[in-house]
This record gives sequence, structure tokens and C-alpha cells, in this order.
Amino acid sequence: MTDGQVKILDGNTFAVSDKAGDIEATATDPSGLFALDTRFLSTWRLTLGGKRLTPLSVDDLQYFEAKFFLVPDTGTVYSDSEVSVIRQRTLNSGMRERLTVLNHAESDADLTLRLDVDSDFADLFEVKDALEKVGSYDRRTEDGRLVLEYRRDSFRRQLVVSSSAPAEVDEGGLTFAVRLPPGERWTTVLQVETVTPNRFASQPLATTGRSSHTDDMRADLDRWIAAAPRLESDDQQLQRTYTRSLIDLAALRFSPAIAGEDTLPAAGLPWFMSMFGRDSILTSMQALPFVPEQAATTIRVLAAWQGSRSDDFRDEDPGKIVHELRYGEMAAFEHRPQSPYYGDADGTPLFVVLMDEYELWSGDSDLVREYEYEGRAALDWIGRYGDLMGNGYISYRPRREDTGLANQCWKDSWNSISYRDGRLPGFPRATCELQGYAYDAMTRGARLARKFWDDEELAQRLEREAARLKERFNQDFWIEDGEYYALALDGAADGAPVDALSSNIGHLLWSGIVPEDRAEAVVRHLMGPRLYSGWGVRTLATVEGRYNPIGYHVGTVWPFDNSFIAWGLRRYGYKQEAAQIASDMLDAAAYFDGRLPEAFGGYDRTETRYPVQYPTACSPQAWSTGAPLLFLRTMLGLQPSGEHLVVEPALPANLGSVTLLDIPGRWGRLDAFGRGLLAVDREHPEPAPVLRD
Amino acid sequence: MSDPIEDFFEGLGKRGYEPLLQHVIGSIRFDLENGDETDHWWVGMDRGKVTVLHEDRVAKSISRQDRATMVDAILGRRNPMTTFLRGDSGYSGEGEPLVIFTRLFPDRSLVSPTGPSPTATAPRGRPAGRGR
Repeated sequence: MTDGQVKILDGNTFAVSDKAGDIEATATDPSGLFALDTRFLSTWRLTLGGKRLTPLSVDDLQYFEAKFFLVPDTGTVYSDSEVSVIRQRTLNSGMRERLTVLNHAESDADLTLRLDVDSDFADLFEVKDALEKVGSYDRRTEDGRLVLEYRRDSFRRQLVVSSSAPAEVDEGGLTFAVRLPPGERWTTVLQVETVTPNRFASQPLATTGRSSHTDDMRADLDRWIAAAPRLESDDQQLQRTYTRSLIDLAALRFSPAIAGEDTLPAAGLPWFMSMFGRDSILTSMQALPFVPEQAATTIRVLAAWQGSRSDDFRDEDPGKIVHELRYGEMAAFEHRPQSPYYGDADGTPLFVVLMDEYELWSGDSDLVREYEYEGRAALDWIGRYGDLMGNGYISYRPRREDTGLANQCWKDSWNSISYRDGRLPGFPRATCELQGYAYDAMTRGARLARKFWDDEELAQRLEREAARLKERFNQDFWIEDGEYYALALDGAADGAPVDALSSNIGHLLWSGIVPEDRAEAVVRHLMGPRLYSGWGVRTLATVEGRYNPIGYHVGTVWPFDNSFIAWGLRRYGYKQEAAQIASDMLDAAAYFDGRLPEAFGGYDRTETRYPVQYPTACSPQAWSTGAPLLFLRTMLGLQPSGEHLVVEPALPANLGSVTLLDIPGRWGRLDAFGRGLLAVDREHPEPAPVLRD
Repeated sequence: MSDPIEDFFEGLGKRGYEPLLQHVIGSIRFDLENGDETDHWWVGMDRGKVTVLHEDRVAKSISRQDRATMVDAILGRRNPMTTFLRGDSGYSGEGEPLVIFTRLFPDRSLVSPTGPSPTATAPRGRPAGRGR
């Protein structure tokens, strides 16, 4: 509720309203009730006697449920309201709203309640980019229900609103005439159904995979939290952030038809409540020590969607891991390629990395044996289809310039990859972290081949290729005078290094492609003033031509990015620096009620004193939700070793003692304990107390 | 003239083994409407082993569409997912085998080198994805 909006979500259904519970969306405003990437409600406005209601308070009871307490505006603070209204809203494969009116007066109240209802059936992309509709609308009343419909050829989306109490239904909404004796209450339950009519009698393609009964949903959330390790810490804020992360991960669970009852993380509210290969992989990886089963589902689902043909529109190739799947009109009519789209160059190597990391933690060797074919296909993609320049590096170029994604790495906005002077490189582009991921995938793939796939020859070949890649990478990407790795190689300029200093170099530590003798220089850059803001590592250094502290990928600080950088720092023994980042990020989380947003401004911490949220950042967002979990893993130094769990804590002193109980893994359940001993720099201003709005 | 639907299913039946289907144990019945008639193809899958029957049988997954839509999918002229999203096909029962089965449809770049189906119009707004 940080921005005055109330958001509840469940899988890929979510509702965004104001604090009175009203929805009054405009063409570009992402409020409404959304399901399957379509806005099913754009107006949902309650009036009493023709007047709007004033919110007294909002309880967001659960991630899928909110309660609004409202009164009529009496025009003066000296007069108590004699009527109050409660709206209790729940998502249950649609939306249910229990509307209650209470009469506090000593006489009868004659009330007229009106609910205005409308839908623009906008595709989420249309909301994002302010596009116009092509099809036609219809509205009618049918058996006391209000039916709104959008049609375009055989594409149909329908909204049905019904009320348990008698209502006068017209094409614009529902009216209730209520006579309420003193001290009495009146209640109706409004049910909003989101329907996708199909003459071939279809089932929905995505659900939350959970029950649509509120009580079951509550029990399910309790079970989810009970199954995760328990955190005990002197630091209240850490406790709070941890619990927030677990609940948000539960809320973001999403089940494409393929997964049956199992779930994987959707990317984030509001723009990305869908399946994203990269986001699901990285979030599952962050959450491995806490909710390992999500990694198994992610592997299984991404294997089912793995590319099997070459399709230019979708940037698909055999073996490639899916980037994004959408269910809206834009995807259906191929204005957009997400049906599904394969335009990213990192999901495929990261898929192999996740398979290996999952086995290391879980000991689930059956799964990596079962998915040998897909693992091999992913490894094969790296050298066969990923290497567009024929120079041994993964690179990318959209095959359709009009609809494809220009930058097919995690920094996927159009301007994210640039030279120091701000020039954009040509195509193909080989960003540095892609080479790190490829190196890691080959190294881990060799372990999988040797240990589980009974293929020593493949293991040796992958090891040779990994060693060669590391050697060449360190020649071609290293910028000698700056002592850091280039952001990318420019395929249109004969492989010239794209020389901007960026956070991408931090991922190289995580992947292990940096030789020991160069790690120190990389760390110096990451923690130096050009990249480090005091809250975390900026996506792009302040001295670069395109640096902008509120540029999406060119200066903001991303919690997820920092969580992998900190993990990389630990890998190379930089405990102090890893703890510093974790400490600063946890400080930042305090400003967001324990919920780290997708990104915040790259302003210096001493300048703004609080982290400035990126204007249209997603929140909650899966890999930001996973970031505190990975920070915990990193600070406690949790690492599987054979059948054991190694614990090597390196915690900031201000956290005091931190205990994580019942960490699941191949060892069964184990506890980890650490005491904060490292003095981190907290000279930055202290965070202000958290104020909920 | 040969019938693309018969060619596709009979070819699949003759192969007998299909690695892309190795994780599936299940069955799909394709109900293909053609005017007043409905043609049925049944595919049984057991860890890559494939059995194809040209008959109306009980199946765990049922995919229903016009015959012409299926021909387009088999020839790579239409994407099965967009067909579904547009309401030109539907399913009941288990979804997982169907998603995996669509991976058997052909290489679209070979059939349609210019990209998507002819119904697609030029998009407005920014390119796909998360950039803004």
C-alpha cells in the first residue's frame, strides 16, 4: 500500500484499487481486476445516496484478501457518521466482495447503494503501452446478472456480476434499495466471474493451482510458512522481511496447466504475472534452501516448453528455454510474440545451472536423470544456436526487429547495453554475464554428465570447452586500463568491447569465470563509489554516458542483481563485502515494509537518505522477494558439500544472532546458527521508522 | 492428393518412439470437426512410446477444433497456442500432454520464412518484453 493503492493477488489474478476499494482505471493506469493478462474490471465504484465513501482504514488480511472500512463523508469532523460500510474482497478464481452496511442511528435508514461496473477488457500490454481496441463490446442483463463481453472474431472475454441480495441490475451496474432498522446490518455477496467463452468447451490454461475456497487458501498459506525454515534473530526487521518474503512467494505462486497442482514463481505484479523462464529460474535458485520444491517444478515446466523448432517470430530454437508466456489478446492475435516467446539468451544456460544446484541441495538425482534429454538439449543450444558470431560466445539479436526484444539478457530495455560514451552497439551483442552463465552451465553440465548421465566423453568435452571459454573470455572482455570486464562485445564492430562499467561484472563472480588474481579489481569496482550507491550496486556506473539514477537498467539498484553479486563475493572469499551489501539491502527493505521492490533509484544514500522506488517498479516481484532469502543463505555461508550442509556465517554485527531452523535438503533437516561479528559501514543515515499508510 | 492430417498421425504412429514425449504417460483424443462430422484420432503415450489409432476412444486429454485449424497447425501455418487463446480450439482433461504434444508440430521458419501467420498485423507501441 505504499503508493495509496491496495493490491491483492493470487497467481495471475490480481486486483488493484484505491483505498476505498474503488476501481476507476484510465487507459494507462494499471488498476482493475486482471486475469489471464486481461483487465476484466476497469470500473468498480460504490456510492451511497449518490456520494462516494471515505476510507477509514484498510486491512490487507492476506495476500488474496482485503477489507475496506468506509463511511459517508459528513462534511465535518464534528459529526459522527450514522452509517458505515465494509467491503471484504477476496480473489477466488474471480473476485468475491462481501458488502455490509451498518446503521448506527436510532432511526430507520433508507439507503440507495449503487455499484457502477465497467470493463475495457484491455490486454495488459495495451495498458502498459496505451493501445486501442479492435473488437466490439456488448453489455446486457441476464437472469438478474450483469454480463459484459468483448469479442474479436472467435476471441471472447466475458465478465459476469451477480449479487446474493436482490438488486436492480442495469447495463451500467447494480442498485440496491435498503431499508435498515436501527442497529441492524445488511449484507450482500457480489460475485465477479472472469470467463473465456470457447465454443470448443475449453478449460482455463492457468490457475493458481490452489483451492478457490478462502478457508483452504488460509490453511494453504499456513502450511507453506510452516514448511519453510524458521528464522530466529535479534533483529526484528530481518524477521519481518523474512516473513514478508515467504508470504509474497506464496502469493506469486502460479500454475500453468502443465504443472498440475504444482507451482512455480510468476514474475511480479502488475506487469509480469505470468511465466517467465529467467525469473522462475533465478527465484527458484534464491529460494532453494527454503522452498526447494519450486525448483523442481520450474525445471519440469520449463522442460515441457523447451524450444523444439526454429521460429523467427518467437525467437525459438531447439533446446532454448522459454522466455515469456502470455494469455491476452495481443499474444492471441500475434501482435506480440509471447505465445510463448523465446527471446532471451540466458535462460538456457541458467536452466542447466538450476538443475545442478537443485541436485546439490536436494539429492534428487531421479529428476536430473529424467531430464537428461532437456539438459543436453540446453547445453547443445549454447554452442549451436547461442553462438551467433561463431566466436564461441553466446550472443543475441532479435530475428524480428519489429516485435522481438532488442536486449535478450536480464537488462532487456532498449538502452541497457551501451558504450561509455552512450553509443548503442550493433548486433549481435554478447553481454559478459552470458559468458559467465555459459561457463557455469558447462562446468555444472560436466558434473551432471559424469555423475548422472553416464557420459564421460561429454563431461570431458564440456570441461575443455569451459576452460577454453574462460581463457578467451579473459582476453577479449578484459579492459586493461580500467581493470574490469566490458559489458559486451559488439558483433557489428568486429567484436569490439562495449566498455561501460556495469553491475554485470558482479554476476561473473557468481559464475566463477573470473581468475582469482582479477577478483580483487572487480570487487574494488563493485564496492567503489561509481557503482556502489550505499544501498547496493547500481546497474550502471555513474560515470557512464547513459547513467540515469532512475533509468530502468542504466543506474537503478536492483535487489535481485545485488543478491547474486553478494553470492559471487562470498564465492571468492569477500565475506565483508557480501555482508555489507546484505546489510544495506536489509536496511532498504525496512522502508518498504520488508518488501523490496523490483528496483530503486541509484541516488547516493547520503543524498536521499531513503531508497527512492523506481516509478513503475513491480511490487511484489518474484526475484526481489527471493533476494532476502539469498542474502540469508550468503550471510550464513550455507553450501551443500556431499551429503552435508556447510555453515560458515559471516554476518553484519548489527544483526546480532541469526538462527535458521530446519533447513531442508539431502541431509533431511538441519539448523544453522551465526552471530554477527563483521562491522559494516552504517555511517549512512539510519532508516526512519516504518510508517504504514 | 494426400491428407496432411493422415500423413501426420500415420507418420507419428510409424515412428513408434518420440523422445519429445518421453515424460508423458497419457492419451489425447483429437476431435476434428468438419461440418456435421467429427473425425477422431487417438494418441497413446507411454514414456516416448507412441500408439496412434484413427478412432473415437476414451482419453485423458481431449483437444477439439475445426479440421482446417488442425491442418494449419500441422503444416506450421498456425501456432497451436494462439489458436487456443483465440478460441479456435479448446481442450478438456489434462493440459500437460497437450502442451508437450504441440512441440511435434513443424519448424515454422521452414514453412513461413517471413514469420507469423498472415493474419498478424504490424504491432504498435514498443517491442516485446519488459523494456520501457
